[in-house]
Amino acid sequence: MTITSPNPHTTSRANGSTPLIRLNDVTKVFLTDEVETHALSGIHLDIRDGEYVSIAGPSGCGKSTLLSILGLLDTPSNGNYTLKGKEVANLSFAERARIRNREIGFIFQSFNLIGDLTVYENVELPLTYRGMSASDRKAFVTEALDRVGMAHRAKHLPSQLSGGQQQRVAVARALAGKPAILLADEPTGNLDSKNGEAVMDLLKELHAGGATICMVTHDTHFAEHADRTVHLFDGHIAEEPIAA
Amino acid sequence: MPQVRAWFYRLLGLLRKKQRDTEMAEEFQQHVDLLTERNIVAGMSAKEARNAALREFGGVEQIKETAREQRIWRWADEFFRDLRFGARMLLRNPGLSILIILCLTLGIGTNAAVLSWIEGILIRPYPLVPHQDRMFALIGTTRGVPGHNGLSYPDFLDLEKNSTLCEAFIVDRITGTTLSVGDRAERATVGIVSANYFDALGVKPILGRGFRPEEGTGRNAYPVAVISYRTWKDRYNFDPNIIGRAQYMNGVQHTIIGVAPERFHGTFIGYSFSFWVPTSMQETFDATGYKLEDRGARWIESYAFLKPGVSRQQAQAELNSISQRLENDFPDTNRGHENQLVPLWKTPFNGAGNMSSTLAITMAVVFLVLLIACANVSNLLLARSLLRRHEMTMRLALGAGRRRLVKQLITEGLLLSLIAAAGGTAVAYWCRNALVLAFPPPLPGTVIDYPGQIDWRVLAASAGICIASTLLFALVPAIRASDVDLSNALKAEAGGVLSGSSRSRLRSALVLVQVSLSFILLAGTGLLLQSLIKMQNASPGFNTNVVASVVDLFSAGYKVDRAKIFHTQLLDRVRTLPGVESAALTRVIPFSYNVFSSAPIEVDGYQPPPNEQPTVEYIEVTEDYFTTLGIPIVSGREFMRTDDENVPPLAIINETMAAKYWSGKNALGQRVKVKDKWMQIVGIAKNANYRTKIETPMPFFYVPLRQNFRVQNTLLIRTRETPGAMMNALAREVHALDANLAPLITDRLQDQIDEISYSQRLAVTLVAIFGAMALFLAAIGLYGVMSYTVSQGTREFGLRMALGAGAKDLLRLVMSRGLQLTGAGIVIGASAAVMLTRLMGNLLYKVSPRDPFAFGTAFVILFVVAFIACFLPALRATRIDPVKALRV
Amino acid sequence: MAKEKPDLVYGTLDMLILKALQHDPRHGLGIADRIHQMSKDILHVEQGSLYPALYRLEAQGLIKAEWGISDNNRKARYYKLTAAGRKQLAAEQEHWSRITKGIDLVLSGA
Repeated sequence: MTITSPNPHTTSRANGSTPLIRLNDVTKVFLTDEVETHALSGIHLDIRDGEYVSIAGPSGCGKSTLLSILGLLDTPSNGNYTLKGKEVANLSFAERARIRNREIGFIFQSFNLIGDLTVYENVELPLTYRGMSASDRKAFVTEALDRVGMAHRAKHLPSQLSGGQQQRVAVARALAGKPAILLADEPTGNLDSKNGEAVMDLLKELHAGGATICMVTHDTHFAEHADRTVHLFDGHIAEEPIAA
Repeated sequence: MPQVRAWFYRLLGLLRKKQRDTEMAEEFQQHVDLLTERNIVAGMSAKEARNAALREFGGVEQIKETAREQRIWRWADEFFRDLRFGARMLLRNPGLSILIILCLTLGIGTNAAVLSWIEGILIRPYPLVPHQDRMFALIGTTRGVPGHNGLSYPDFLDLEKNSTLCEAFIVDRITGTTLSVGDRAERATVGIVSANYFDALGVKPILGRGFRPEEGTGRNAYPVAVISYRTWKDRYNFDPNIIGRAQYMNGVQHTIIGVAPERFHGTFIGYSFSFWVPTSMQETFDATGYKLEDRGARWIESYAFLKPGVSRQQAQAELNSISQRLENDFPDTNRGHENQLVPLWKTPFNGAGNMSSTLAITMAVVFLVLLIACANVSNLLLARSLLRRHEMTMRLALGAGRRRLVKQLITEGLLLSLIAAAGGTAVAYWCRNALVLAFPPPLPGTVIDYPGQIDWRVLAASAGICIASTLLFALVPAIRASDVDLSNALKAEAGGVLSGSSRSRLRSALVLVQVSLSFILLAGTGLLLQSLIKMQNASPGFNTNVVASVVDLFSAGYKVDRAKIFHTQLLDRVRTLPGVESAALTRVIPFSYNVFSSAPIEVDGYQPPPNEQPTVEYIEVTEDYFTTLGIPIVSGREFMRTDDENVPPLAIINETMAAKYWSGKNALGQRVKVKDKWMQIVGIAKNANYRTKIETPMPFFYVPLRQNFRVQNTLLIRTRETPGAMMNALAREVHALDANLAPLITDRLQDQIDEISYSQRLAVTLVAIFGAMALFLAAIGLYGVMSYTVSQGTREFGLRMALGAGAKDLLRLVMSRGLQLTGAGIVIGASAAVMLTRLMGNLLYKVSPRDPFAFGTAFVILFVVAFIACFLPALRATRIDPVKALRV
Repeated sequence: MAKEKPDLVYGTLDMLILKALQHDPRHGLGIADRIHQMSKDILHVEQGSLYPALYRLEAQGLIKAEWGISDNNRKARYYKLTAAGRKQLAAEQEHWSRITKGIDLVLSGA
């Protein structure tokens, strides 16, 4: 694995194709009470197809902001963001919603399953925003639930599941739309270590199956599961040790 | 006992906290001084002594504090703390607080206003009469005939003589007179009352006296009058020497013997009387002749006062036996005649009868509004309570007892409802005035006096309902919070399941209640509005664009012969006036408060059921009556100028009468016996309405006025001129015939009809106002719930956005939830409305209680309102920042 | 009861104050002196608990306070027993003697 920072252009794959994601000199500034807070400054980051990247750093270092920008939940104050070669930093609300839906799968620390919906319906949720036919949705949902080993719980409500199982469902929901990249924000943060391990194993398995994953964690142990780790410190990408 | 005293003492202590504190300080000072003295006596220096004393006494402030704790009601202290906190909470969410207060205010205010109004009109309508609970209206009825009539004076005297269970009976017959004031004529309302009237009612004249027992009888023997306070004020300028003054009425000089108290207006709901005269003066005031000795003339409106402890059933049973005896003794006049006691609020012969159904509907509507307001407040409070679940959990975690929490919430609820109750009182007072204004006098020249006092019991009851519901729902957060198992709550917080927007059953139920009640109101309003429009447009069966005018010959002292000449000449002159198409005389015009003639009839070949006396109403009219009013003659002919006393008695009957008494036969040429005279039927007229547009068709007939001339008649003129122009021309003609006379009222019949149907119009207006209010409240409720749902679901919406939901998806989500609830509410409301609107049957006119148009309109309006109420919060949902939402 | 552990057995101070006022009205210090004297110097009432107790009794209507002049011509607040207080005293004395008798029996029986 190579160093992605400071010069992203040296990190292109040997075949010369553009990376899946490229952040170029991305800055995020928050204005609160007329004080500018630089949450991110001068971020260069490439993530290639099939890569497993973890973003590590102490709390408040800008990890979550970076992930929000990657997930198109937030827009950078400055800089470029290309996803699959397309500039996405300044798209309209509707277009960003469309890209989130098709290209990005979110996994949250607090799994964010909807209590009123069954496991099946939760996983189906992103697909419903796509105008897919019911039978297609069924195929996608079943496949996703199979991959996380939760197919037998499809009719349960989230409250009937353990925390580990809930997170597996959340992972299935992220997978269901066959997104280009999975963005995981402290996916083990609300789990005990045994269930945390299981979820990490699941992510590894998905990676082995070809999925691109970008995970935010402050747990160095879990960060080591990734191909490489980007260290964020105070809004900057720090000089990092080369990942194992 | 000591317990109660302690409370009182503590309360006192609380109120006098400052004073007690100084007293306490003084007492301690004295104590220390005594110790110091003692120490000095023991040989210490002054300074040493004092220090030792202070040491021994201990921490003054600490003792004070402990002592104060003993005195002061600790919970009162907490109460003020809660109050301050409550006020802060209300201010922190001012929009919600204002909505809650607004809803409660409207609910309490309108309810109190309308209910006390109803109470004042119907339940205790005569404020100065002490025993209204024992007062009943007394009416005559005829077996087998719907409706009511009066009592005759001889019957009245017999009832009075023979009843042991009734304390008193009074006669109260409304009539009018014309008073000349300078060069114009003025109508005054006169009550012909029994001599015991003021005594039985317990109303003492403020000047002079009431009537003496002997003044009740003797034909025209006692021309004395008691005047109303208003008459005294307006007509006699508070003349202090009013007693003994003379006043001409109907050509007879009356002596004023008394002035009634200011708040006594007589016993005819809806009218205030100007004069009262004793029954002996009946003939003077009744154009239809002397009736005091005629057992068949049922002209008396009457009230009975039961003795204390006697039930209506007991008194009625006694009346029945007396009536039965009279029937046996006087079969000619009393066959089938019965006397009924009727509660005051159902009194059929005055305004109460006209209004009770109107008021019943209004009451139901107002109650619905109150319910909606309560549901609304509950909704808003519930929404607030869920917003505060976190706070409550925190407080519990910090060790607040459940009781403490409940107390705090009750305080807040109280604060809300007290503000609202104050506002409600203000609204009630405002509404009272508005309602009085909304009831315009039904006849020109008549002063209407509707009670406008707010009944405090009603106010208390309405406020009580609201406060109870407020408190009930204010407590929900405490109940929920204390149900929460803290460790579980924390786990749930940390867990990954979003329950924020989950639909609370209670809240949904409240919205359903609200929407369905609103639907009922809207549908009801629609039905009433529709029937009003239909009624307004409906033909009463005759042309209403006809001018009616009266020359008060009776008050001017004309006798029948002179009146006949006058009217004949006037009619001839009027017919030649330019613009006049046709003109006729009638004794009574339709849709007036005047009574038609009525008489028992006999028909050749018609056998009435046993114990039944067919009685039919009729009027006396001249030729051209049917032409003028445009009532078609179905067969036979109209009356002619020559149909006078020189030809045998004639009659024209209406279709209903023909069908009833000559079913299957041709009534034309047949005979009907009225008052011992056989009349030949020369025509059959198409049915028309006689009293109201909503009456059921009844048998009715017409006789020639020229065969039955009376002093007082009304001139009907069909003209192309305006009533004003007609008035001038008419005045000239009247003046030409008798320089002392002037025509009294010149009005179109349409105006008369509008006046008489005003209770329907009023009902509709009120229901429309309250319907709009309910709609407004329902919109607030829906909006509150939906915007709460959105704010609770912030995180869920953020998540959905992260998963790629677009603005449209979110809009659809929120809207569909709101509209689903609305839809369900409408379904419930519609089913309830189908059952309830049947009860409005008698207020509806040619509109089915299930009229699809009214229901459809209610549906559309409610749906549109719901749409807007849901759309605004839905729009807010699309503007949620997902990053923030998910981080919450 | 056991939780409180004051100098005096909980609740007895009220009874002692009532007893001290049985015959004459007294001011605060006078009450303390009287109890001290009646107990033959065994019981010493702290001012810190005396006044709260007085106010409590006053609030319960068992005693009544009014300003008066002390022996040495000083203004002082005098407390006297009310009828209810007299009744209460009788009841408590009765109750107390039964309890102590019971306790004595238990202790002597051991």
